[in-house]
Amino acid sequence: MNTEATKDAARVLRQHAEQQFAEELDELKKVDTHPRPENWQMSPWAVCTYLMGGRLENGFEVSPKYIGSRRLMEIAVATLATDRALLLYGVPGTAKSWVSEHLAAAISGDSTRIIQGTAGTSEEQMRYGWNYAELLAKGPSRQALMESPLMRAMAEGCIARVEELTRIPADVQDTLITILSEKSLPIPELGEEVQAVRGFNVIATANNRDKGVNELSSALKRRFNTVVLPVPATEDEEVAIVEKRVREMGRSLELPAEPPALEEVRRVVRIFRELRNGRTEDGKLKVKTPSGTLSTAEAISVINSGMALAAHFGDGALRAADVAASLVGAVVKDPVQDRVIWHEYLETVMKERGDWKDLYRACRDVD
Amino acid sequence: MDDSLQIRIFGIRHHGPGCARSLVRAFEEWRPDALLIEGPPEGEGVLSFAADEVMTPPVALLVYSEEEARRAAFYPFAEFSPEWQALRYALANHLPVRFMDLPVAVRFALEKEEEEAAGAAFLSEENGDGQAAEPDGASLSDTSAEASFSEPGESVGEEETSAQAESSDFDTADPLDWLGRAAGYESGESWWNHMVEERLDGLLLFDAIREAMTALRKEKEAQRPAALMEQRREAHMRTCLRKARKEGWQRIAVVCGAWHVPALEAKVAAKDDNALLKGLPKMKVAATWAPWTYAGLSVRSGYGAGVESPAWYEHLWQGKTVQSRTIGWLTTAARLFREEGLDCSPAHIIESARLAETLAALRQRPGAGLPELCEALQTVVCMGEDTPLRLIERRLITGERLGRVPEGVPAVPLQKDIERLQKKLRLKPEASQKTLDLDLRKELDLARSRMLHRMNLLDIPWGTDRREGGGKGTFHEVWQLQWEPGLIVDIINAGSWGSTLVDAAVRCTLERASRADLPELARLMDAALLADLKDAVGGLVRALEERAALTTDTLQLLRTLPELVRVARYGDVRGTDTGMVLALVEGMVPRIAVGLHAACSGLNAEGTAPLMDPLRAANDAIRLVGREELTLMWRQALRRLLAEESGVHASLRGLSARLLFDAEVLSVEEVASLMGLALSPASEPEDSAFWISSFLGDSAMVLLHDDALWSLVDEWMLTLSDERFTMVLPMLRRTFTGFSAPERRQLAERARRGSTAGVSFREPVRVSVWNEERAARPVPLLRKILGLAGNGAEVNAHG
Repeated sequence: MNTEATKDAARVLRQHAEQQFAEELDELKKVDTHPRPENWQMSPWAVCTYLMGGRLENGFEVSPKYIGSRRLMEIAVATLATDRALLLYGVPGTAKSWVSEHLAAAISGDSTRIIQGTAGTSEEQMRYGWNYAELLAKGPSRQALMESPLMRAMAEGCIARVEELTRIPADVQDTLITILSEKSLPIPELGEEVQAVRGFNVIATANNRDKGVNELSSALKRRFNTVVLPVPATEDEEVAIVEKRVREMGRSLELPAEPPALEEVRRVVRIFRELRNGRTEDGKLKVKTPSGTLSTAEAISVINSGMALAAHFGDGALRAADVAASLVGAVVKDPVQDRVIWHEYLETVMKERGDWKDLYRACRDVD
Repeated sequence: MDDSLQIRIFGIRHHGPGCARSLVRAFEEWRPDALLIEGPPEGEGVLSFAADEVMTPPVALLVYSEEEARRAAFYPFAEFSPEWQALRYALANHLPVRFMDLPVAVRFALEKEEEEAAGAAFLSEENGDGQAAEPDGASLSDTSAEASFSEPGESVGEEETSAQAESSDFDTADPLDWLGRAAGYESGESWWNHMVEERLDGLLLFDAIREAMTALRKEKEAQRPAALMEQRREAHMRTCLRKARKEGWQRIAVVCGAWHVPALEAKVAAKDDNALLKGLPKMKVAATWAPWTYAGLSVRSGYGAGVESPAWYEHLWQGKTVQSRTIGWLTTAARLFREEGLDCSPAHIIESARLAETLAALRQRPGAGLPELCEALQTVVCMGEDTPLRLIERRLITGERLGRVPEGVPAVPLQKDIERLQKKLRLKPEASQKTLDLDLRKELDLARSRMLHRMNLLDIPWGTDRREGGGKGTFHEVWQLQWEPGLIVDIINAGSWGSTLVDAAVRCTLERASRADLPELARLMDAALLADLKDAVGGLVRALEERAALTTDTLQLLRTLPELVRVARYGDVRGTDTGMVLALVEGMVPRIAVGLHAACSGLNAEGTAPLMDPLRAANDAIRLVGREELTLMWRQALRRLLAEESGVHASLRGLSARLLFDAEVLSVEEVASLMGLALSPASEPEDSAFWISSFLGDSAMVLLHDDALWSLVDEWMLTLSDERFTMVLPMLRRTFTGFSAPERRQLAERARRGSTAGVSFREPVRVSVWNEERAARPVPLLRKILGLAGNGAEVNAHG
């Protein structure tokens, strides 16, 4: 059974965090002597170590999941330990969902209690729904009740995740208020309630850009501790993130291409940073900012598709031409305005850089 | 040498509340009979003031050179500084206190030698820029950092000049950072805070500190031996220690920066120390107390031994238990947030406190420290943003406390000079607001004006110049004076520039000039002339020349010009020599003329807006200078802007047409054709509107009273066909709505009088036939009202 599960896991396109890093989680649990909050799989200290990476006492190397400030992760973990819900906030592509998944995997050993927030998310999806055949046949009963992931998490005492909280309509969002303050979910149809077991908590993610969509009510806001995940502070940090993710994904997608040269990654990251920040990295030249977010996640996908191109249509090594196609696509979201901005960048910044000639020409060719 | 009974060395961290608390406790237990403190021996003379009741920290012991008052060293103390507590303890128990650091007199003298040597080398390769920056090099921040009580943190690489940054990380870095990082902290300060300052226990603390420092120093000195200055300081401290022992005290407590502890315990022969200290130069110095601020204690002010958060340390000093500390701090923060209009309910505080404590637990600390508290506030109250926290940062983190010193303390030299001048010029500092009207033709008033201007240059805002804008040519100046106690701090800050008001103002002006842009330089020049700083003027002129030659920004030159012309023209009212300034103007006009077209072309409406006023002002200025060749150059430059093909925006074209028309360079016909072109149907309506509105300007007065202009516009309007008129109407309306209502009415009246109206003003007013009898009737009543004697007939005769 177990071997079958592993085989299954190996065949899936993308593994859950707790599957992919099962070994690390096990090792951490072995050395973890710090006090654990009830129903937590490991202590807050171990959760932080799992996220930030490090060498354990027994010599086992834990890989970093989040590259950035340790303090932020500590705040996030401490928040979850205090029964306040955690809201991860930031521009798209700042690893919010990624952090949320790993937090849930480390704390509860299960990152699948998830509600994906969309404009169509309904109250049933947040609380519970009914199996109508059952309901008609037998009337309201627990058998006819279809629990939402949130309800199940409450009953089991584990972490529930709500993705893209601000995309959910405001009235549906507010369902969370009772759950977060009373820690219970009433079922008036049955005259029952589900009371959250210790260990239950909610990690929500929301992005800055969607702020205006369904702004959280202040009542709901008050029930969350907010951690803003910043865009990577330095070029080096961002390069490290892109490189690491690309390597991991390359492995899971089984791309035959060799891992990208650091130089190519660095160039893509620099282009993204410069366009995002509105100035060149040396701070000497102003650059117009295109309409897209140009997040780290997009940089990763640019490199990834470049690698796929190189593997299947090129010689296996990532070249400027492989990157150019998806690079232009990532930058130019608005065919009119962004194109002007991109061209200006090409002509004023990229052209001037002596060793960027190949990339410059490749980008020109794409047009 | 059996020190252990007779001497105890307490290694502390400057401004560490935990150290201070432990120190007081240790003193009470051990009862020393003499105290040696790492501080300037020159300060001993004014020590007795520390016992004064009025004396409230933060205060600073100020040691300054009597010959060169810009050489000054500040030794700040806060309530929670261990040195301060030691001092208070000694004074309360009538114990003898000695300061044992190397005398400031020697340090200043050495510094001066070094500077002179460096300066000679510097001057030979660099220009005046470096020289202007020099006073800064020895100003408050730097000197105080160097003279600070060499806290373990900063003493390491700091005696080196900051330029030597080539050494490895370990050399320059704070050794505490090193220990802190080894223990997994972000910085040495947070490690030290946690290990020492935030604890409430620890009499054994000093032993632990000593051990840590001994280990650190060994590592450090194995890599690189201590700097000469540091060796001298420690030699001097040891010498003082020997002397104290000879004086026969039984229990000598030594309070010094933790970093020095191993050195003071080392067994070094007296003659080696003497050899190090022999023949050192000295300068004449004086010491006094000055009120200080928490801002000046914080590391942000550039004070080398500064701490991250004086307010937090004060809180630590006062706080009793860990729990009450957290709540107390968060409540203060909540109050500040509310004052800034941000939501912060008690529930927020409860949640913040819980998060802070959980964070502390996660980081395995006994209680929440400053970083935990700030992070908790940011997460819970500020929705993860750091901007709201920055709003209250100054008040929450740095704190706003201002110290007080008793009245009798010797004055700072600059303060002395200002007080002397106040007496001499009979200008009393008064807390109430007072208006002062100065007649600059009087010797005394002129001197007063100069004094006030000099103080303003030094940012000592005692008086406010009430004149608005122009009118600088008059002999009158109106000042509003108000003396605030805080000004003394400004004076003390300014004291680092020099010991007399004139010196300080000159040096400060030159320093600012080295960083100013052109318009700022012109303002400085104006201010310097007003303040009669002859020594600064030369430097300013040079700086202006250089800056004007290098700038590629014509707009900047344009902005600078009017100010300079005014200086040149009106400077002599105050008896200042302005010949140099005039020469400067002569050099600037050609540059402007050359660059004008380029600067004006290719701009949109938004871009031209900031050009309009400078252009007008520069035009006036050049007219005022009255040099034929300059005016000619300027007019030619303006002419180049006229044509539509010039690529200059319509509003600038309109303006230059008007300027040239006023100067009678353009004939009526020329202007008429320009106007016709600009307002023709082919041009963009938008452009036409810009042209006409900038041509007519914001006031209708000139249009009303300038016949030539009036008839020009009038005739142009008459040539329009009905259809065209309707098309032009919106643009004209737009221009005319800019005028005030009475102006518009007058315009309409004049227009109603028809085309001859232009002439009608010159015609003599016809004497109307009037009924004298009827006119005389109200006269007696009028006389009564006006209180005049006599009857109507007389008036009639006069009339």
